[in-house]
Amino acid sequence: MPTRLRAPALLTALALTIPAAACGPKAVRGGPGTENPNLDQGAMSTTLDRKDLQDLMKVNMDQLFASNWWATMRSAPARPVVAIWPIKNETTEHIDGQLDTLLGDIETQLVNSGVVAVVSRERQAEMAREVGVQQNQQIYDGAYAAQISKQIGAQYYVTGKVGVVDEYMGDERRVQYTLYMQVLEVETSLLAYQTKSERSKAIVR
Amino acid sequence: MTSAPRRRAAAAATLLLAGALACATYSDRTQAARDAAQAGNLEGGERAINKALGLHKSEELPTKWKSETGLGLLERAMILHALGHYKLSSRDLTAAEKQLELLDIARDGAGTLGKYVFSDASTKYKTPPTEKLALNAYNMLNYLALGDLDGAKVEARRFTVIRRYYADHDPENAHGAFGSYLAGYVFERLGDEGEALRYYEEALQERTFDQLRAPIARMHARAGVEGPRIRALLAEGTGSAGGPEGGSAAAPAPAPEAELLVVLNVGRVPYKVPKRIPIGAAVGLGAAYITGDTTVLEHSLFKVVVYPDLAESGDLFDHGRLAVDGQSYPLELVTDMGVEIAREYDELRPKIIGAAISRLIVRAVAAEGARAAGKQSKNNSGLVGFLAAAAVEGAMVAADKPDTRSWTMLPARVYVARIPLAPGHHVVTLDAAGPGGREGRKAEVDIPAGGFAVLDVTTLR
Repeated sequence: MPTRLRAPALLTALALTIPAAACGPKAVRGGPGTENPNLDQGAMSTTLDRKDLQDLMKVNMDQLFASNWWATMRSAPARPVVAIWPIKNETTEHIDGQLDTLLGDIETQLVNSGVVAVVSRERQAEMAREVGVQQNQQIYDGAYAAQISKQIGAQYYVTGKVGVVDEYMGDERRVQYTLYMQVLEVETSLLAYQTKSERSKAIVR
Repeated sequence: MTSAPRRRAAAAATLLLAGALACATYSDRTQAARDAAQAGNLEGGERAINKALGLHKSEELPTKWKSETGLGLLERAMILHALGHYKLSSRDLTAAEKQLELLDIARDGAGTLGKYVFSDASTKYKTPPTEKLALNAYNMLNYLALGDLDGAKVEARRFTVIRRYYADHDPENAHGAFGSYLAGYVFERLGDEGEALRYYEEALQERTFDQLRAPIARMHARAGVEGPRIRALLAEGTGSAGGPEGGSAAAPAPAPEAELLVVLNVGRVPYKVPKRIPIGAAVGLGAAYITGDTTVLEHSLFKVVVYPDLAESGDLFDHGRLAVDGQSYPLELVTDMGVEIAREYDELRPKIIGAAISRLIVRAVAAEGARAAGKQSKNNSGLVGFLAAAAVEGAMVAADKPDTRSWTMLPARVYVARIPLAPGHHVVTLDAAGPGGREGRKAEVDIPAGGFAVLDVTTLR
């Protein structure tokens, strides 16, 4: 090719390449204070995402803070000690990671309330190992939870479960989630407080 | 038209048809992976399927989801499962399931139009019942092999959603004894005996499992849940449930101190390949599902129909032999997915052939239109019309690729064995056997008191 034609040809090639490169996949930042504030708003599947979990938790925590049990805690002479146990996943989705995050959020709210003293979850896990909780299902056993909570000096423990009604039709799938949150008295295993919140997700045409 | 131009046109049409037949279909693109698996080279199969997916390694997930990507991921998941990479296999199955679910629900206007004009392969892939039910069953097995009962329980519930859908809307295809058996095992290990019995009742709908007698009798005494199959099984007595070959027991055995669950997957299900049959024979097979007037085909240059038919995978193994610490134990067939896939396809074959003939009619009508337009040419109108018709019909035939999409790496036959053992160290030998000889595997397992271990062997050949 003659040399004088190379520069325009190069420019043309560049002009063609730049838009092509711009059309490829790219990472973006989202959420409040970013260029994509609504990135977390859209549902991408029927699984529970962070927004769903935050919404569900907000309902449950608001109800908890407005409850008679919480009022009793506020008026207690000494800050009652509360342990937090895993939320049982009874759904059709692999959301254990998300539920762990949710547990962290519940812990944060309880700690920051200043009304109750919260036992570190690392300490609980250590105790569980000490008493021989080996297989995962035992973590959700009420007797184990009460035993370990007592050993770490808790008067109450917070736990919960997410249940589901999952239905599939030829042209639609709908998943109805219910998050139950419970507070149990360690000494008696009596249910001191319970609340629930609901969220449905679907894939529709 | 003189005979020479006609011969040239016919030759051109033949070339177009040959080109169409040479065009690679899904089963062609995944052949290298199957060839490697057939040779016992699972790593080679993994590389081949990654190449077909446009990926460098199995740690990568696709970023672009095309019509075959979900299916390709199912193929890779099965190879990874056979290699014992259960976490990666599980991740692939979960990702593929979500994509395939979206395709199942999505509207496919362009695909439906393409189906009538070009090929069934234009449509989005709809997972058939056997594949859909097997997906969650194998993911359950992945989680069990990892010792993750919570993960397995999630897959058990997902399996139930799909099985319930088929039970309600397509009861003929509400199979899945393998999934029901594994789900029963998961809930049994979790201590939810009522739920376990309900799943075992489902599994027993398809065949009897001698090794389930003792666990069912034990759980039934406590949970009380029963169905007609459980009642029938209990009425027959507890037999030799779970014991070594030749052993017997008069009463339900107490819960074993430890237990080994062995799953042997041998062979691969039949897969689809392009098949050519004369139009006359095809009309006979698909008559009830043909749309359009078949007489127009008399003018067509193409006298054969190409459609996807099932081909055997050439399985080397079809059964197995198991020994633990030198003692032989029976393996029970839990499902024959090869037979189920063939049965599902036999039901669909007339529809598929009917659709292929309907497409031929559409093309022949279009060719007739081109011929009529060509005949209006002032010079040599007959030749121009013939060539125009041949070009139109040939181009449309070239776009008609038989839809050979299916989960080709799905094992054909699945066997299980439940072995009650003393806690501790055990040596397991498992031989896959069949017309291709035998492939032996030896494993050592350590089972804690009150615990269990799952050993999976998947040959993919």
